[in-house]
Amino acid sequence: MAARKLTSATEDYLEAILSLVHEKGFARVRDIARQLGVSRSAVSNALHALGKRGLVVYEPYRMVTLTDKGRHAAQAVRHRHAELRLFITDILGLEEDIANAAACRIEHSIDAAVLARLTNLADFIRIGRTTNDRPWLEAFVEFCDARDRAARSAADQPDETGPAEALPRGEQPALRSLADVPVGGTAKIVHVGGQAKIGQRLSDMGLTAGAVVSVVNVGALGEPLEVTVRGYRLSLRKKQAQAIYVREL
Amino acid sequence: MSYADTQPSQADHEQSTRQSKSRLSVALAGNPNSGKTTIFNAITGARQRVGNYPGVTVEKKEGAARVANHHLHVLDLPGTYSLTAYSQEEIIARNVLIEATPDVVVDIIDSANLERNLYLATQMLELGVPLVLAFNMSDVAEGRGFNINIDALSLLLGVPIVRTVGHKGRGIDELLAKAVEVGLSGVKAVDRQRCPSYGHEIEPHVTELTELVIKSGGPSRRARWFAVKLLESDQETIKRLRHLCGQKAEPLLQRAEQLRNHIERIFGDSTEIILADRRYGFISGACRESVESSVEARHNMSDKIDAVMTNHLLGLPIFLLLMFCTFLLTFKVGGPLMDLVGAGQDWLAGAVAEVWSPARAPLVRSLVIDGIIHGVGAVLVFLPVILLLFLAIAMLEDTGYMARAAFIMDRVMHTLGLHGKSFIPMLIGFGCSVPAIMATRTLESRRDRLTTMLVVPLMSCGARMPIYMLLTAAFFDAKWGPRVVFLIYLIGIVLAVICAKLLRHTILRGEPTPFVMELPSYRMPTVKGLLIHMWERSWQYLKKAGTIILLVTIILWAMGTFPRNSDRQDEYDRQVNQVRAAYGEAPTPQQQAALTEQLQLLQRNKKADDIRYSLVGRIGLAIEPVMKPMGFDWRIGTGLVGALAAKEVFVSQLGLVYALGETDENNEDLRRRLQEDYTPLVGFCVMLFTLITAPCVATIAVTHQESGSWRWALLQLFGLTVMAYMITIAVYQIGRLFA
Repeated sequence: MAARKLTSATEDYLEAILSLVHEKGFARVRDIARQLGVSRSAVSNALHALGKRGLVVYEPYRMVTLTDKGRHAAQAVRHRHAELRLFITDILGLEEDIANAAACRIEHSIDAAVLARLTNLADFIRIGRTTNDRPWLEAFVEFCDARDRAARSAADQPDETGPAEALPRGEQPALRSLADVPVGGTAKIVHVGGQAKIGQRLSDMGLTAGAVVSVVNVGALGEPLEVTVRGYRLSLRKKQAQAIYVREL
Repeated sequence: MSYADTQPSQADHEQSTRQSKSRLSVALAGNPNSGKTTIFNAITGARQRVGNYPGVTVEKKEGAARVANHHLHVLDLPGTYSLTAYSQEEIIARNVLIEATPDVVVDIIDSANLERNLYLATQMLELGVPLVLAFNMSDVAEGRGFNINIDALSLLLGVPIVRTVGHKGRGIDELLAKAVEVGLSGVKAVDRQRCPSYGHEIEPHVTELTELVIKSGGPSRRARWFAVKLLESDQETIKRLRHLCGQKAEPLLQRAEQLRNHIERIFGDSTEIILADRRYGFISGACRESVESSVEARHNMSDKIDAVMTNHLLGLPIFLLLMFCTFLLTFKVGGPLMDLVGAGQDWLAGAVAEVWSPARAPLVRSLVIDGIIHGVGAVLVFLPVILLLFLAIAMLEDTGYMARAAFIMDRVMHTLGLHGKSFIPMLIGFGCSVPAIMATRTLESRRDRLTTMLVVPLMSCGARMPIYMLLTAAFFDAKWGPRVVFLIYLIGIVLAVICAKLLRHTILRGEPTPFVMELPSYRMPTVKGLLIHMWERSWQYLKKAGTIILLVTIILWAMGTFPRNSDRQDEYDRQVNQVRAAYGEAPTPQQQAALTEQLQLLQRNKKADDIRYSLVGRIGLAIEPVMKPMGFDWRIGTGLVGALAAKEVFVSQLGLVYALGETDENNEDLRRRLQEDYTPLVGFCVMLFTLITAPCVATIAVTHQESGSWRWALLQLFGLTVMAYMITIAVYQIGRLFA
């Protein structure tokens, strides 16, 4: 194992600090201690160690903040956690708390490449692409190849790169449907699925891969959605929005 | 001979002869809400003709214009976002472009919404039609901070571009001059145009298929378009190719399917979507080179209005208020006007009756007064409400609110299998089914339109009110009367919901149309535009439905008049003479009054007998056994046959049958007679039956006109009648058990 590899305990600390900063705007030793269920002195010791590795800025009796390096590492852990949790709930169909506990254990040891393939598998199943009677495995491998190619060509065109692509592959925010993006959220379209002719209609209206969509409004009963795409307002039902896969920006 | 079938050499020849002709056909294309209609109005002025495309209800608008010594024939294509075969409008637009081969196509582009509007243009380029782009609403675009380099974009696309501001008439002359120039140069202009390229993976496939299309004897000028559509597995195109190339089409189609599968394997996505992606890529590329946006966040006026209009809390109340205003405008303002038309009709009938003595040609006199004047009146009486309704709808549409109304109502209407926009016709239906069915035009999907059209008559219309008033006054007290009427309205709504669901699960089954709808920017409508919209649609009503309504009114008059009982006429004459003789030559005022009363009684009795003797009465008698299970006798039957002309006729018909002369719903005698002859249960059943049964002929005529076939009109007629019959029987029979 490379020396840079963080231990699972370290990753837990970083994750806790990140979520506290996100929640309250700051992190204190006693909050961290409460969140992780360890003593304050243990937290204090760990923070010193993290400080030495350049991951956090910590002085006794002061707020704890993450360095850029620390934040990046924490975000990566959190992303792995989210992706694994989604896989366990959505694909394996297990309960939320089981998923969280399992994700907490797996997130520290899983390889980036394996996680990327797991994400691919989840997307492959979610999108529900027809395989034209070909074996699923063959279709899946093709799906992964297409993804890798798309990622490479996105890397070739730097001006197309949005904030989502700034993260290394496998550490992007999880793929979700446009229907799950909250009002005020902005996302980039990754894939337009569903029935071909409806997909064509959505594409005709400018909802194509790479286009940026913001959800502006939702009808009083949760439907339909009002979005902005290519500078104009479009309204669509949840059912159509569910066939559009996006990454939030 | 069309472009589609000619070889380039022939086309060149055609073009050289065109120079001298100085007659050019211009097609206007563009997205909905791009201001296309405004430009069309600006170009053609009042010289317009509105009709329908054969077999469908898509409006076909044509007009004429003159530029220098060129006569332009301008055709306004339906507004579309794309040229797929997604909607009727799209199929028509592309068929016109392929078959009618206009000399030049002017694509109206909303400059403030460039990318999506250019998408249609890329498909026109692919189709290889001589194209001119009008960058409309360029003032709005500038206001929003877009700086478009027209020259650069024009060079990139290989198409002339003209800036216009439609509602101010700016740039129209320049646009027409450009259109003429391109129209005259024909093929040369097309050769300058640039098609979107699909990239190194797909482009070779397109080229291969293009060559195959030409080899198989397909249309060479449109070969690339056909190739692309084959990759998209466009069913219309496949049909057309089979028709054009016969047997040779099969290997071509097979190859297209292979290539299509190949593309889907490589990209892991359906070909249609990938091609759309590439077109947008082409547009984005062109726009990056030529458009600068100076303002980052574009919170414009329209967004601010929308924040209120589609607000969670305010959206629905505002919508209901606007609907209430529409209803008020249509019926509160239109109602008195309707009465005015009715009064005018009565006055005319009275005047004719005055001048035309009953002795001279009595039959022709009756035809003119009761048939023709009454029939024309029956048509014209709807005109005020229809004009006002279409004015209100034009305002809702032209301002851009209609899309918001659909947005707000969609969730509710969707559970009924309908579209958000169906709400408006349903609401109008409480006033009158005729304008309500015409209001279904705002619906895009045919299935939604037909479903709405068929169930609209269940929204209890205003003409049924007199029947309810008469019957509730006769059978129920002041406390229960209104509740019964309310119940009847409620039953109508519930049945409409059930029927809509039922239709969507049986004959109009199918995926609910995906709700992907543009919410256009709010816009101030122009008075001219509103008036043109209002008039066009009303004129269509007069022309189409009017003829049928007039015809059927005359037929119903004949049925109520023939056959005539000449024995009864003689007897009547004898009785009149007897009475007159009894009073002598110079009666006193008291005697005079008694005489008049006796004569009126004789006349009423004769009319009652005439009705009974006529075809209507005979039908009423003949169907009595059928009506019996509902508790109806021949009198009610006769009234219901008459009610086919218009619902409220039921009341006066019943008055005639009871020998009470001309009556209305407030007639005390009629109420008393009804109480004597029928139970409250029968009264309720009559109301129920008139609610559900076949609407008046005007409704059927309009359904025929709007659905484009008798099939749906007849389904409405018989479907509703059968349903009314069965439900009323059930209610009557069950009710009798408790009575």
